[in-house]
Amino acid sequence: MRFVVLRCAALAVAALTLLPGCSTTATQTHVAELRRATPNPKIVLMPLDVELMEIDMGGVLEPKPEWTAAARRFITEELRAEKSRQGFQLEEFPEELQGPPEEQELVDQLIKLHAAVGRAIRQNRKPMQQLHSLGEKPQWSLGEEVRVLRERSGADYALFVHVRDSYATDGRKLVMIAGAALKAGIMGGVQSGFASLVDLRTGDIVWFNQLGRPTGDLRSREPARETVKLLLTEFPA
Amino acid sequence: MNRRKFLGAACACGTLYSPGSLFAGSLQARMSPGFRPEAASDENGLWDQFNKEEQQLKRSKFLIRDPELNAYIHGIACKVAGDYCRDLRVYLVRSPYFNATMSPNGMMQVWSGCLLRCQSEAQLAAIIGHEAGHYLRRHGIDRFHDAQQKSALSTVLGLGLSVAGGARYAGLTDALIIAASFSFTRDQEREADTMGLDLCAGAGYDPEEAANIWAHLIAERKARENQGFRDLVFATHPVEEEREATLRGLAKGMPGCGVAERRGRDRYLHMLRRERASFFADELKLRDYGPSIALFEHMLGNDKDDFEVAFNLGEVYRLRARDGDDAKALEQFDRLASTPKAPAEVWRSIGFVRRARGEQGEAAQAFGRYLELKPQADDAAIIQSYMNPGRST
Repeated sequence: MRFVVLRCAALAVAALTLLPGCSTTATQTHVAELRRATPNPKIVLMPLDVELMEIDMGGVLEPKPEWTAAARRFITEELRAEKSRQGFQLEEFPEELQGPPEEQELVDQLIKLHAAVGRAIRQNRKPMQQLHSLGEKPQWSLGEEVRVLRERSGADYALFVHVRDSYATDGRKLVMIAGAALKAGIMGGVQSGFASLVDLRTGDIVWFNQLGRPTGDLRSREPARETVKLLLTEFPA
Repeated sequence: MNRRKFLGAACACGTLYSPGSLFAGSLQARMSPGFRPEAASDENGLWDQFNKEEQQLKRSKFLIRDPELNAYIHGIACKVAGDYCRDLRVYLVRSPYFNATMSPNGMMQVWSGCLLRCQSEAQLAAIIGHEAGHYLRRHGIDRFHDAQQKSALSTVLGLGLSVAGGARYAGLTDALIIAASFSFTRDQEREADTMGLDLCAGAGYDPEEAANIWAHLIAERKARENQGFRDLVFATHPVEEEREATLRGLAKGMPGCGVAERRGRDRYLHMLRRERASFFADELKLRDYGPSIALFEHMLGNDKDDFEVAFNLGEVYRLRARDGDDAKALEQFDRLASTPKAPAEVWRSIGFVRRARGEQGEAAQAFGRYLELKPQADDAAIIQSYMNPGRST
């Protein structure tokens, strides 16, 4: 069980008003446009690594499967809409693979690896936390094992989406207000995540965008659309 | 469901069950068989998380898939948990440490290090009974609620202290609250121990076997070179000594206590036979020699003719290679080499020890015997080179 009691003075005021200034996205792009060997490059959408939770008075996160299911539906629909706008082929990776267990496990592990690499990228972008030995433009990769995905789907790229989104209960909001009055910053819900486009020949992450803000809502269609648009900022189409 | 009815149900498929073995237990299951949490509840959210974990566990390469062993252990879970058998899914996981886990949704994991350490069906039943106890008492959701309550308390106290100008004490109150939540989990472990013991005795197993596991684990811990720091305040489980004493005390008053026929040792070892070699190999890879020696000597104490154990005891000494270990290793290997059931690898190990001692003649003889018994061995070429050190490149 996780205890999450975050006290962050910088957010003391923001906690009350949820200033849009706190909203951050940062894009890292390596390719200006997708490889156009075919007129419409094919992208496979990996099973979404998305969890929605409620953060209670003391900061304990409660998983909310019904919210998560809605968010996954909205994100998928919005990505489909984006596909027709930007003109790439998008194929959804089947949630339940009909393959041997080793191959199924590889997919599980790649999704977890993406979460770990994405966190490393995010960490590396923080001020004073860059690993300078990686150079100005570090090349992040999921490794060549992604070829299995290419063989299976025939796609050129894979799109990985990782989102952890939490929402404050009324009790939490109350202590946030009380905290703000006492100049003790108490965090509320946070929308945090990232998306990566992975070249399935090399495993390299050719486009990456992160999201981290105390606003946003994936539980209903319209705000979810806004979140997905933000997540796909500068998507190389 | 009352206690008697529950135990009756729990024993429905226990072949060792006898009606006289019922006793007045105090803990009851806090759910009926087939229980599912309500759709919008927090418990459902918790289950959902573990259902996803379980989907992934099913595909894991660490899962031990031997169908016969899985069916056998599922059968033990059924004897112990009775009507709740269908609600528990036991997964055998390759990990060389003594552990088993229970998730709120009924996913139970038993690690290979635990299977290797159990010396009888009754001992494994005690582990499964303990884990089933966590499930039946709904400890997962209780722990979640406890975390919610205590962190809310910590937040409110922290704010209160800020108002009172005592913010610098917030760290202290938080530490006390965290200590209290560890105390909460230790109480859950005690409850699971008691419930597990009830279930095992009810299923017709010798309940004292539950205490015997802990006695052995204490011996293993004492054999560890790095004793580490034993934290009694921030510990998830009660200390082994307490668990052993409590379980033994409770078992004394139960039917079947200390009855060897209710342990199912031979059946257990027979079922483990195909997987055990890999468990030994994983144990050796830990390079934690003290506990491995304690474990293998304990196993030899139960059956001095278990050649697989004797070989691995020799291997630990050979790998540790301290002063005098060569003699201890050879003692095991030579004893085995004189029996017809010695595996070829015994000769290879004798060769290694003799070679390390500088006894080239004896080493070459032993290596020769190994290659004679196993001419197609993967390492034949390198062993051959050890036999002719002058010509090696």
